[in-house]
Amino acid sequence: MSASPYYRMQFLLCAGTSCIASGSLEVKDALQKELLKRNLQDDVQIVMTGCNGFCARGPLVVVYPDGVFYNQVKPEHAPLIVEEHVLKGRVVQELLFKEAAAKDKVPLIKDIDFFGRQRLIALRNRGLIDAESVDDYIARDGYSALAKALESMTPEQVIEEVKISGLRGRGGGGFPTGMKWEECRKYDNFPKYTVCNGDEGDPGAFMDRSVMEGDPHSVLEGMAVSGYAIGATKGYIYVRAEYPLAIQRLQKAIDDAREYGLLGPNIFNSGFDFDIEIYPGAGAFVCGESTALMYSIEGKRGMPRIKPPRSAEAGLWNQPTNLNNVETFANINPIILNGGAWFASIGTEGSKGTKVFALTGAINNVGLVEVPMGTSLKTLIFDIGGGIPKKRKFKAAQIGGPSGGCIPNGMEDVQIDYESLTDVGAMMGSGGVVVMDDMTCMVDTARFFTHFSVEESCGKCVPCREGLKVMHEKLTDIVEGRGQAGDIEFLQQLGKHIGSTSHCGLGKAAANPVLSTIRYFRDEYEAHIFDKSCPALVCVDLIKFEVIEEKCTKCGMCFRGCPSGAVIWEKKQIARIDVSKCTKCRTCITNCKFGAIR
Amino acid sequence: MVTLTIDGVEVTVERGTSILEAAQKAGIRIPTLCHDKRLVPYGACRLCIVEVTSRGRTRTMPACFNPAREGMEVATHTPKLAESRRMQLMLLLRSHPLLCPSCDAGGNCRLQDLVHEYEVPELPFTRESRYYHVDNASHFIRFNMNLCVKCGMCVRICDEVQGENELSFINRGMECEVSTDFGRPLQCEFCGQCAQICPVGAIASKWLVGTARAFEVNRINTVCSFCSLGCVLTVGERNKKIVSVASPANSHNEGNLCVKGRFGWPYVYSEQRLNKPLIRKNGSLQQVEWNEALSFVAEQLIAIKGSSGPASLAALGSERLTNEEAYVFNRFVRTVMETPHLDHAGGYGYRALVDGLQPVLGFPASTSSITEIREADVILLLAADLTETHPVAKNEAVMATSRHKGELIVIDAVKTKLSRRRGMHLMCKPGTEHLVAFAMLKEIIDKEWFDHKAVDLRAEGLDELIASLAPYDADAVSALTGVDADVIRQAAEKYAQASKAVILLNDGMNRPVQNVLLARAAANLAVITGNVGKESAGVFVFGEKANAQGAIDMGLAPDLLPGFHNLADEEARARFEATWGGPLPKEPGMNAAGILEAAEKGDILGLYVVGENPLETYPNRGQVEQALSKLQFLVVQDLFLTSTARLAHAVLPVASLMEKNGTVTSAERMIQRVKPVWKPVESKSDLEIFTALAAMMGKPAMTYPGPERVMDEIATMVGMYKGVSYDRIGDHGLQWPCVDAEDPGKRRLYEGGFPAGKAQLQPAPSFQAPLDREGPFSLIPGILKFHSGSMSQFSFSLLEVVAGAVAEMNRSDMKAVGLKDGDRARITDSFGASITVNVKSSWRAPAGVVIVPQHFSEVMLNTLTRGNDPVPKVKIEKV
Repeated sequence: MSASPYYRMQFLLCAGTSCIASGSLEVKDALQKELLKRNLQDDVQIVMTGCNGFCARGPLVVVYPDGVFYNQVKPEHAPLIVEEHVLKGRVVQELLFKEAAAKDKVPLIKDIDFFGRQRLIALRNRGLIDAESVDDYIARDGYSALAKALESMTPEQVIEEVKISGLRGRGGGGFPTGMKWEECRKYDNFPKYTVCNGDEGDPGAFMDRSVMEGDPHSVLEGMAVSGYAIGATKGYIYVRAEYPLAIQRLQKAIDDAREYGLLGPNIFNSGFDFDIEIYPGAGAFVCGESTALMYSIEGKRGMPRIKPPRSAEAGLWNQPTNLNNVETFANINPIILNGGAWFASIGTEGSKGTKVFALTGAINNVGLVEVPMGTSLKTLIFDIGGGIPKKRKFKAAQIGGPSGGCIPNGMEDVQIDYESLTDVGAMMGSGGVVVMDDMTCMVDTARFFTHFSVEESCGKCVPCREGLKVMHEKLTDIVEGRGQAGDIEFLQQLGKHIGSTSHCGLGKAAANPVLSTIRYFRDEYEAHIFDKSCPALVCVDLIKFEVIEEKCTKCGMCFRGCPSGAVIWEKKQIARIDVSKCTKCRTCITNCKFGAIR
Repeated sequence: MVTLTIDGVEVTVERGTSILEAAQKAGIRIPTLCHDKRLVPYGACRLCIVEVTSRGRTRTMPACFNPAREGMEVATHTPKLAESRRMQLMLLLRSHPLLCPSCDAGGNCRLQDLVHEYEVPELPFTRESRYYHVDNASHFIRFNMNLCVKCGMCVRICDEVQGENELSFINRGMECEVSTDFGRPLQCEFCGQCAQICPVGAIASKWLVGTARAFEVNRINTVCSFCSLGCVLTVGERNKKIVSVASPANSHNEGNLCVKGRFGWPYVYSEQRLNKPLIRKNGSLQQVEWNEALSFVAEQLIAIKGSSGPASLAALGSERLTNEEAYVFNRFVRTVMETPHLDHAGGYGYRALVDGLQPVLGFPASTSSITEIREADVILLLAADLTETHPVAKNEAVMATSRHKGELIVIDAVKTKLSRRRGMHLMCKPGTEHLVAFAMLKEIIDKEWFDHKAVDLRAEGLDELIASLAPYDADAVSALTGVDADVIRQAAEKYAQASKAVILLNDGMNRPVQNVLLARAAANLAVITGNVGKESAGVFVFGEKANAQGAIDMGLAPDLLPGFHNLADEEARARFEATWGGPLPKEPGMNAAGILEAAEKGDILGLYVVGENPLETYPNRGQVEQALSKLQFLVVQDLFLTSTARLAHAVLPVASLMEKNGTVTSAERMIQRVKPVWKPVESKSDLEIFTALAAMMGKPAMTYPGPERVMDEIATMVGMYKGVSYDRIGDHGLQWPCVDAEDPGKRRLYEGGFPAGKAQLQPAPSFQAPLDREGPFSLIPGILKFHSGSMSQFSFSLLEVVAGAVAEMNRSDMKAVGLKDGDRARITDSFGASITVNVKSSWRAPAGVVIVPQHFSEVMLNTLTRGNDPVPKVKIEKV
């Protein structure tokens, strides 16, 4: 939104990782070429923004001043957009978004449910600014919170404001941020450090990446404010090396901020020195655990260490250290500017403000959303998320990634806040929401997440290293038809054991997917174990691959999809499957709309 | 202090104590698999989880790292916890091979014990076999990672205690494994700590493989003979053969050993051990029976005594004799041989150190206990490369700098492993260390970094000291030593401002003059800054051989009687004359250097050498050789046919420290029992030989039925040993002074004051530049942690790691001389004497320095060393 009086129109192109992957840079080139061809380059400005959030529909182009939202734009659409929208002032109908459930197309971004129902605080600048422009960030009140803190507030007042806001750690733990800062401030042992945990590693989570890519300065500002509050002069951002774009943009942001004197010595002539360094992590999930992360920065093996002492007392290099998540830092600017009370007015009794979620899986509007705490899961999935594609039924949502649990169909009225989620056996986690439809086998899902935890266990403590492996093997037995009576009880016993005796958060929570799927989908486990069948037809060893004649409509969809010629079908004949040729790829099952294969 | 209840037992512990330690104090055992008191708690095995009720809330938590808090109620053995531990053990067995019957750790395996204790049933899940190859590529150590339970104790002891960081975890999760970098063979100290601490059989001594089951082994606690730290060894013996050496966890060395202690013992079985006495017949040494040999020796000594007088005899003892043997040898020399000329090689090294301490402090010994070093804030290492000389004491410096966050001040002419750790390294010109120390002393006094009043109360001689220090200005010293004056000042400030500071010194051959001065400076520094007589402070002197301290205590010196009594002391002399039954000389005899000089002149005709090899270990080989070959009669008592023994007229084979009874006194004044692991038929102990000879030489009164009776006599004669008896020494030792039967001994000297009332500060010597001869290189006799010379050269194990001497030089120096790694070089001193040795480039050697290991016979390094010249200047050329 570079405020330039010279342009009459702006194209905001999403340049998040997802849109870049689907071709937004090519769209940009095409638009630029087209504008140049028509000599409109001085009339229309193209801005590459950070992640817009609506990843499912990328590449995205939002045209201002009107706020018209075009989705799934391809380079070949460039002449059309320029011709129609820029020259003739007509909206390009075929690129407009259509809600899954509605008939009409929605031209304006503000009218789209996906956007309209969100409340943006951490993502306040999303899709609006050039992620690589410090000026853009400043134009949107950027760094004014730092200025306010340094010029008119004592560190104690800053901490007090954050405490009033009720902000809790957005990395998953949910520890009150203000209290964390206060604790760290207490120690008179310098230097102190403030660390940003950008080691987002849950499968299906991309909140922090989007913030770092789309609004890197909001992270830097939050860190600088926290540095001022606790008395730190140095900050580290720990980002996984798999996020090259985030690293690149953060580095540019740091360089720009240094140039503007927003980082470095004597910021705003206040006498406060603060600088930030990026530490690229090598991609271990466990390095998201705070003590392992600090070991990693120190160059040691990323393994959780014992506490006490807590990091606030002796963290990085044994010095007092504050560690917050990316999203937590992104919330600091609005809290300081608008006051803690304003933030606390949003959300529920125990969970204040908003939370960013990454919606993935069997959901129409895959993407990044930010909603007030207390929003129901239903709103999140059906209103904002646009419901389940292909008219399938919602089965469960896995919240909190491999450490979280699933919330089944029928409980979608649950409010999204720290306590409510814990009560139903899930957890807030960092905010990944994986939506599953009725084609999902919950045993297999539990196995998937357990496998992830097996792979990512650091290997230090016994229950996590060995216990998860045992769990994974048991689940494998079950999905491959070797389940036995007593397995469920053993899994529950082992799950509780792992949860209660593991050392770090990874191990403590790693059994959650298994425990919560047993809690809500015990019948599915029983079907696997006793009936040797997979109700969702996912576990290939339990599928017979035979056609249920009564259900077969003789449509031949199974025949057309089969890659190995195992389906025998002629027009108006019931299909048969030659099991000797079948490779168990399940294409016939996914193709059959009538559930005629078992 | 906090008070808590554990299983109904109330226990009060210091704040910060873990629940586990509190339980141990209450006598309650909590099972662990990854805990060792030497290490920082780690929390990996999760077996120590206990139920803690505090403020009405009950939680489970690991006991090993959670601190005990006021009012806690801890339950350690509920049915639920037992169930949890059983599950933990079952999970460990998932991938741990159940080959216990063929496992060498069987019967000595913490996992096996716990599985048995918790009655672990058949596993309700599938086991997995691991197929890591068994890695035998390293010296001494076998890795069988299939057995590993990932307790991390090997990794941690290597880092936290040894400071080596050789081992680390690689990979993640199930694939997690202990390895060196890229799986190469070990290139470390080979201390074997990883093997001893391994709770299962994943890391083990190669020699143990297939030799004996744990329960077939007899275990005998004795003391290591390789240096003066007195580490306790638990020697495992089966069928009269040593099969293993470990150290008990409750020893003062906490179970830590170095490579020599753990793997150096095969010298005992060396084929080169002498098993029969030899006497020279027709010009060559021939085997004879004991009777013949002893009569021959007695006759010869009597003959010389008769013809030329007793003063034409002399004796050289050893720091390898037990206290009892040293005591009896002293009596033998002075009342049977009746000569005043008695000394030992320590006179060149350790004696010089204690001679520096005693005038200032009162006792010729270390002030405190070794384990106190780890809590010191500053450790001043005066020319002490402990990594090579006293590796177990080095561990203390490692722990001080890592866990305790202390700092080192290393004053040394070469780089050392410790000089790379936290702190500063004052790299001075060789032989100028004491100048730096005195300059620090002056700086501390000038800047008033000490408490005048406190020093006046506790010490005398400050004014004389101040006057003597006048020329030791940091700038002047800087010019001579090459250490930046500001760095000297910083080091002085660091030492003076530390609330707890220790100074460590060790014995080095051929720098006796310098050693006295170094120790004097150290004692003065400690007294001035109040770092004496309190916890984690003081001055430590570490001798080279097992009984370096005991040899001083037992008066193996020309001027001393046992108990540090000077010969001039009428009262003491009278007491000893009464007990020993004979007149004692009033005047001191000649020291080792004097004896050799006299022998060369023909004034000494007969020499009795016990446990020493002067030809190799005394400075100035040429002179020693001449002196020895002029002797009319030379008798050598040793384990091996040393080069000195080859010149002898009679050679008596003796038992090693592994084969005899007695006591030795360590560098921390700890009197400890040495016990025989086996008894060779053909060798006699030194004690047996002395008494037999005494009888043959007409003094049958000098009989002792065994070493225990000798100690009883020592207790009556030596004040510091008055309360010592074998019963009281037990397995744990007693630290002198131990003045009566109730005295538990002293961990620390001078807590209540000094023997003379006040410490006697000693002035600095007159300021002079060190002797500087011509020559491009300074020669530093080096010590390697793998060797100590006299015994290690007969241990195939230690020779396997380092087979021979290789001199170390700076890379640029080698280039300038035209040498490449592995080349042979001739090193020639300013007198024209030369040796040849292989050379290699080394990070340890600064430019202009060559370090030559002193412990290899074939190099004959003492060709180049002179007793009065601490740092020979040499030139080097390619051969």
